[in-house]
Amino acid sequence: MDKGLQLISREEEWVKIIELSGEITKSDEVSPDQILPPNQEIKAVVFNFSRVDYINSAGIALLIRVVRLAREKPVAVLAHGVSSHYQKIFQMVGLTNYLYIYPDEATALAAAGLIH
Amino acid sequence: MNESVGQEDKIEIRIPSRTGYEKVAMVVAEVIAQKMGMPEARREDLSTALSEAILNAMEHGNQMNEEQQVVVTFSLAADKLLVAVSDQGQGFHPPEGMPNLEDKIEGNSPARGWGWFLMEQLVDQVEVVPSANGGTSVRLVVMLEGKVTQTNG
Repeated sequence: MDKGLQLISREEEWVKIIELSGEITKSDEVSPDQILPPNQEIKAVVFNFSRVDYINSAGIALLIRVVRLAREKPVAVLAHGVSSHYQKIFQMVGLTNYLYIYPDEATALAAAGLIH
Repeated sequence: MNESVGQEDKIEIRIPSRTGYEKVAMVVAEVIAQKMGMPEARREDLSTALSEAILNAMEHGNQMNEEQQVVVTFSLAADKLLVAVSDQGQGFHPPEGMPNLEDKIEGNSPARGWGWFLMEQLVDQVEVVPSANGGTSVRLVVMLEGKVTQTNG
């Protein structure tokens, strides 16, 4: 029944861009270190949520663990492609104070300091 | 209410305590809520609240014992939809107060623990009552003309 979570990542200069797809439903499905490896020198990570169709509270916990690691580094966390429903959920939880949501990738990259 | 939906109808489904099966109930909820004429934002709120109630019943009520079921009962009324999510386990006490995100980000408390908070935020009423089979029932009430939570989209 579980689709699981798939990640495809690429880098543009100091920004790591991660396309998420599937479901974010397990707090330990991916280690935050896999998303932000210790030896990777980046200043921002941009998540694309447009192919994520289900996030539950355990998935929110995973995002919190990523934000926790990003704050330690420090790395800015940005996102786009978040549906209006999940934007609302992130806002309720308070996550939008740490994970900044933009309408599309270009805007998110511009906010991260990359102008295209 | 839509004419194809009876005002006193009850629909019950039983699912094993295995994560992923909550999506079966979410699909049923979507169909019922659509037939009752709920707007999309409200249906999405119900769907998320219901998934959290079921995951809660699987994890805290049934202790992820796949031989114990979660029973989801939809009771349709003219002005509201009541969804009861019952476990067959040891019972469940809802947490008090809002989870503290800053504490969780600082690592002072576990990152998990949002389910009950989300249920409270997303439906008109949520309460815990003892269920007939000795476990616990979480009752979610969604009024047809009730609150619509704010969206950004």
